[in-house]
Amino acid sequence: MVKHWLMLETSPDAVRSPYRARLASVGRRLPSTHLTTEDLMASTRHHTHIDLERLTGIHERRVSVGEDDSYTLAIAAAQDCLSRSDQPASSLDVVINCSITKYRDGLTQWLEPTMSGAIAEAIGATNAMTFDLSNACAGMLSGVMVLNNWIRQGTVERGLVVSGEYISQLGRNAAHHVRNILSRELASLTLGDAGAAILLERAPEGVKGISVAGFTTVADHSRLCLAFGAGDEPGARMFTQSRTIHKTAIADLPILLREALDSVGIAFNDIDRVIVHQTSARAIKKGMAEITEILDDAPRHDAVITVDHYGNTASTTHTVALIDEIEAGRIRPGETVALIALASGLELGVILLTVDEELLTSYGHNH
Amino acid sequence: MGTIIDHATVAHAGWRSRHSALHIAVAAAKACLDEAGCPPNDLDLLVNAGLYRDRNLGEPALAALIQEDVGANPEDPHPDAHGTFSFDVANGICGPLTALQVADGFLHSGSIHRALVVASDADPAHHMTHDFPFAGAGGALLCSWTDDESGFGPFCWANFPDGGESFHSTVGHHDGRNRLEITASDLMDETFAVAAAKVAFECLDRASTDLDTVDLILAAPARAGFTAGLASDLGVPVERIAVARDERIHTAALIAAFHEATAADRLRSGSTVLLLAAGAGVTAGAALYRVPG
Repeated sequence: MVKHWLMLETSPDAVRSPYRARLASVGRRLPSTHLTTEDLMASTRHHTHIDLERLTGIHERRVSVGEDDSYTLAIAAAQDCLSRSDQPASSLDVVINCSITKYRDGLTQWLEPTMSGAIAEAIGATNAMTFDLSNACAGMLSGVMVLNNWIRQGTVERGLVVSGEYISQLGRNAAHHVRNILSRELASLTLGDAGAAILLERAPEGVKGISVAGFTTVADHSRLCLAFGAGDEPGARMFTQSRTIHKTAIADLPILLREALDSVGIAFNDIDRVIVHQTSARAIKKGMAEITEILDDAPRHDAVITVDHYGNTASTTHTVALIDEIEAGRIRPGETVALIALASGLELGVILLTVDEELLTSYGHNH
Repeated sequence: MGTIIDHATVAHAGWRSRHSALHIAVAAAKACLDEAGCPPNDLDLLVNAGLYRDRNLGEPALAALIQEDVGANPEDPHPDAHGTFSFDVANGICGPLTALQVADGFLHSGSIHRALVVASDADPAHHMTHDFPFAGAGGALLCSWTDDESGFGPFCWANFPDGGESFHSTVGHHDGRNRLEITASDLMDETFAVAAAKVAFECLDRASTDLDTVDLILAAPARAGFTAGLASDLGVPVERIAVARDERIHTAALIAAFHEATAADRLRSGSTVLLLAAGAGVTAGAALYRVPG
């Protein structure tokens, strides 16, 4: 038996996994306030002499100024997602919330009951089982991995993976502490707020949907990014060794990508769009160039970059970016999209999916 | 044909680990693997369902730290070997049942061969909470797949939304500090028992069976009020329900119940067990389990 480093789900198995899952619709909620990097850096307590925009390519991010919290962002995204589908909320078998932040009514983090239960109740998913999944910025794609597994086996027919990240307050805390470019709280200044939702359902016969889902945790690097409740400040603080994370991810991703591609017998060049976790435009470009060189192959288009205008919206980045691509009409039916997770843990994952016409039509595109 | 629990362990906080859910989880996980004779590198999946943790860590998943400290394929990927995937689930005291269902899915599909479900809680830190109500304790379940008749049947769930009225816990900024606040109503156990009984009957109905075929009910929480209410709502003597000895164990309660029932020889080969949990939400889950052997 061929050994994979990834925990991998690929081709259907007539007995154990007879079905496939398709992306039925996606939704998001972005707060209306734009916070530019220039304005954020002007608010730092110390003279940092950091040109964060040049360093990361982030011009601005969306932030809630109190009107939204993790719950409202997630609920609005879930409602947007459902409104683009023919299916009522009552048809959902499962709702999985995957956010890191679970702030409600300001900066009060709810540990129990689950956020997924509150979302299900708010959207009317009265028949859905609910639970929260937490896996840093890989949360939503980990949720997709679990839901895809259940749909493939017929355990459930339809489910919602959702997240609401009211996480920009980490940047406000960091603004008090960052002194220079070596600060471990620098990455907190890249964060933006967003809600996102993905509706997965059993695909009809002949629809490709999700062809590969694979994940692994390279735990030797589990302490490279740690976030926890701040002692005396509202919310939380995050400490990140960004360069080491980037270096490790670039070293580890090629072998994992090759595994995922080989499992369905396709090349990197067969991938139309690559959406990686959005941390920094510079890091994405540099990383993709290095991976392309190692694999000696490249996807058909440059990696999608949305971090320049949304910042790093934690677990929601892939969905938020996918919607940008769909709205702009850059994705055509039948195209293959690779969603690549890179998160604190170190979590590395790949989801390969084929976008169908029905999904694009829900965004008003007719091809 | 189903997911079986190969081994279960429980670990309790010591003086030095009383504020570290991580240390407790790692102790439980290591003991579980060691006692089962399973090398850490054999693990394909590690799911942590614990909630109250060191300084309320938000990321990474505590499971990633547990994986590193247990030594389950922590190194960078290399050819002709397999790695371990780790993440957390949160579903209150029902968390281990959720984690078992997740593991069951990947074991059933053949994506993995061995999974470890871990749960632990500890008072997050000094000065962060008044009277943390739960025991510093954790547990671990080592799972694999069998093609014979034993293992888990389908998992059943039900929500009875009460907005957290029965039980809720939050971390908020009060008096200049972030504090963990845990609130339980007087009717909590009664409410949880009703929810657990409802989902139990639904689970039995779906399996076209009834309580007469169940040899033992393993339940969480372990509080006497809940157990008495559950026995009454199910119409069974309280002796048929096994719970953890320590009423204060939270997310590891179901694991502790399983571990202690095994030690007391109450989980005989071929017997049928109903696992039940009900907690904040109100969320309740149930699954039937045929003991292997």
